[in-house]
Amino acid sequence: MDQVGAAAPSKWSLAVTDIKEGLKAHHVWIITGWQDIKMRYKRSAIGPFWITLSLGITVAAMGALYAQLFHQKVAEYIPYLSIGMIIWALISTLIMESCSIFIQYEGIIKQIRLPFSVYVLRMIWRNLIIFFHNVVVLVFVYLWFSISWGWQVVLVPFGLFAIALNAMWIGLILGTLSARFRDIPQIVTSFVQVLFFITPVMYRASLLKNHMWVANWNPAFNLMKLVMRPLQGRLPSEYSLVFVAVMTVLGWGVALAFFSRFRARIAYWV
Amino acid sequence: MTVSVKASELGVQFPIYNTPTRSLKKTILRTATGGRIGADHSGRVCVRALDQVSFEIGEGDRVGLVGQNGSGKTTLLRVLAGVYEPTEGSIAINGRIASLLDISMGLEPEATGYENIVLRGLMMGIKPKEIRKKVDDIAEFSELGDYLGMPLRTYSSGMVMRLAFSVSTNIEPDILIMDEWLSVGDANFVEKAENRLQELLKKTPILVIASHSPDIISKLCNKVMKLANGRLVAIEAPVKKESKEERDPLSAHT
Repeated sequence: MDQVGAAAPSKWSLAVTDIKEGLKAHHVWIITGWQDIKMRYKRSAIGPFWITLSLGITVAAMGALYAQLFHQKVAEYIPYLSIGMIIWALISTLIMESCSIFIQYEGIIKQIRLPFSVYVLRMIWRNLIIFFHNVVVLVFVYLWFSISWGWQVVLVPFGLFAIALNAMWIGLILGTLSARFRDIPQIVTSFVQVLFFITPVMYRASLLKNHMWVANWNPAFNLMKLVMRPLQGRLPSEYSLVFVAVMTVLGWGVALAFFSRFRARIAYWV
Repeated sequence: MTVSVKASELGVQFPIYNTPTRSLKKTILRTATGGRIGADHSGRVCVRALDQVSFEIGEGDRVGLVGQNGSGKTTLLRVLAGVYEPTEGSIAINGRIASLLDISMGLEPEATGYENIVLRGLMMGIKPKEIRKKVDDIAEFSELGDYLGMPLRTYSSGMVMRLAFSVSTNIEPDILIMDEWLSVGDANFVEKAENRLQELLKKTPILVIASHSPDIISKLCNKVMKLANGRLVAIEAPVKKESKEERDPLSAHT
């Protein structure tokens, strides 16, 4: 029995059902997510490896220049920068693309009932695929500077899972808000740009000296560290773990309340 | 389980965000078609697309939705399809729904015919395994042959419609929702498409179709729901025309 309207199950349980059904429909977002990547690079000779190549070029150019500016050794700076850049690329696109998940699929949303969480998961999956293309850059950097991977690298999937979990609540909130207020995507883009400068991606956090709190209280940086540190052969700090755990719980709490309140409105707004 | 649809005092109200309220107010009086434009309690401009709509549909019902443009036919179809959750009242649906509202929805111009079959199938809630079983069937029906391996953008519009039709009608729903009768392709294909739709209708317990064509309605339906300005004004039996000429209204429509 599929019942909606006044005598229907509570908004809360409908929202939870939406997310459960979205997870269950994994074949939908796995295939369409791949399709998104294939479409983006259709008719280009090296296909999705443009993702890898463009990041490689950025890292090489920035690495050479900023190592000089920050008086760092190239052999130390470039590995640091590449790790930072691939994770920053993941997190920043997750935030920015969260805004368009529902607006973009207006055509489908108005024709067919699919769980809304499917669109969020499709976006997250697509960006994880891009992340794995970018990891190739890191493999080359490590080979070039003959750096060895620590055993801690096995913790990377755990960090990525934490990122995906947080991207999901961010996506539910930003996607819904952007469907209603079309200024949100612009605001978020500017916000992400500012976030880039206060997040130690191009420079080391130690450069902040007396202003370490900027990095310590930066949600994006704490999330990044769960993947950065294992890649650098270190364990994530307890501080970051607790910070991210609290953020995940709070974020999901807000997102569930928000999503259950406005889920039914999304089809009207897009 | 019996297939059924029950709507009670269904209402759908659209908020309109980007229209200047004032100039719109001036036009309210002159609005001849469409849902009534008004304002909700917070002063936003709203279109009441459906208002106090109640009905019951059971197995064997072939419902024709009629009414002028903007009377709420498509909105009602979308409520049935589960796209819009009603803002007032409720609707209870028993059975699997398939909507043929826009058959070319979700097609990717850069993807091949085969890829599009899979994508479209996924959107319709079919599991990848079942899609793989159906692919040959769909490919054969579309008669597109080797073109199915080519990107959709190389197709003529007729070919795109053939593909869209072949995929979207390869279904076994309990409740079928259509916005106008589908007719696609050239003369040969039209006949084939007709047969496919007739077969689909035969095994589908409930049909709800919106149409402007009295011929379609009288040929297909056993119940007519008339909408005007978002209200259900009449539920009646279709007017059977006693036409002397035994022409097929469906093909006449194409």
